[in-house]
Amino acid sequence: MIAVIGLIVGIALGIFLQPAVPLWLEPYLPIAVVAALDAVFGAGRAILDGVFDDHVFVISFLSNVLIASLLVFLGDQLGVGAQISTGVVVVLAMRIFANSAAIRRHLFKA
Amino acid sequence: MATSSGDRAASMALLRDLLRDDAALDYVEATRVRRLRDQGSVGRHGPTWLLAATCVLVAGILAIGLVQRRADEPQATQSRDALAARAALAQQNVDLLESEVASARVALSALGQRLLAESDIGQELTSSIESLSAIAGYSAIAGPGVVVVLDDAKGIDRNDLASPGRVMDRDVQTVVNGLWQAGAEAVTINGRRLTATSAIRAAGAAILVDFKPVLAPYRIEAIGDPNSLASAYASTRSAADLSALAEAYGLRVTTETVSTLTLGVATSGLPTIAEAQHPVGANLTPSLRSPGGTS
Repeated sequence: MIAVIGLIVGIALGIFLQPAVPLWLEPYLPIAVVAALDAVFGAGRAILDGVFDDHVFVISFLSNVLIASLLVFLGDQLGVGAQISTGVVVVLAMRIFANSAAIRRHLFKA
Repeated sequence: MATSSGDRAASMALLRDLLRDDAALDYVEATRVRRLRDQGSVGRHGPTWLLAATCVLVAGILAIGLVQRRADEPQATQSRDALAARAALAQQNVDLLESEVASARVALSALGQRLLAESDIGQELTSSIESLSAIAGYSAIAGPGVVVVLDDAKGIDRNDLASPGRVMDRDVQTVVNGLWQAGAEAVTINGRRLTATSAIRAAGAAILVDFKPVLAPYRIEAIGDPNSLASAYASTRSAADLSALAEAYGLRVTTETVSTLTLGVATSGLPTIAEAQHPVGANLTPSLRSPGGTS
């Protein structure tokens, strides 16, 4: 319940406040968005599996975003930022697909 | 989709690892640990506000991501406009410098002529310099000639590079080469005088003459023998190729004979004088040599 309220509040905040993303943060926004999607799908799957754990949710989301951003930052410094962000997005997208497949199996038994 | 599909080949290990369903492990592992400790009771760990805060953060990032993409678009247009404005400014600067060069060149040749007029050999040289510099593009030239106007086929998208109805750099090259072949003494494209080393190229959708863009319709003016230039051009391979293109793809080509044309001074692509020496004493034998060789 508190999670749903939090989600709604977050979306409302994001859309109505439209905070300007500072320029130096811009390369990390797509990564953060994909990581957020991954967290949402992972949580949805865990809820359906009956193993949801808010501790894991919080920690895994924060650490994923942090590590992904760190990788992209390092990549930027080494001149391969675009490639590394592609890699991060690919990995997170694969997780999203795996999770959504599990959710699909739960919901539609197919 | 996920678990290993029974292929035990070592080379598949990487792919298997990639496809393994790691995404579920986070929660499963945590649950296993908790079950061990709590003997199956489902307990909450962190404070509720942390979960709520994370949810707000997740949803906020998603929403910002959505909104941000749309906000970026006008910015992209802005930066393109800014770049275009800078390019236009740089182009103006180039034009200014070119006109300075042209006027400096006129002053220089006036000075040179005055110097040459002081000696007998110089006076002999003056007339040959005049005729050579007219052909090389160093001075303006006037006379009868031919005007070929090339334009894209009607109703095509200029920016569609694949459209066959576009006039391409090759087409302009064809016309110019045909005119030279027919005996033209001087050629301009949209007012830009060509020299022996001029380049006609394409960059994206634009045609560049000596690295400066020219826009359709392309007006190619050539000065030459009034009696033979037009007919000689009409019988060249270039003219035939071009009329075939016009027939096939609708390029608009018009050719007309004009009694007086004035072609200006070339502003770029001029042969450089690599070994001009300052005349020593009264011995005036300027050694004008151009490395490219100007026909």
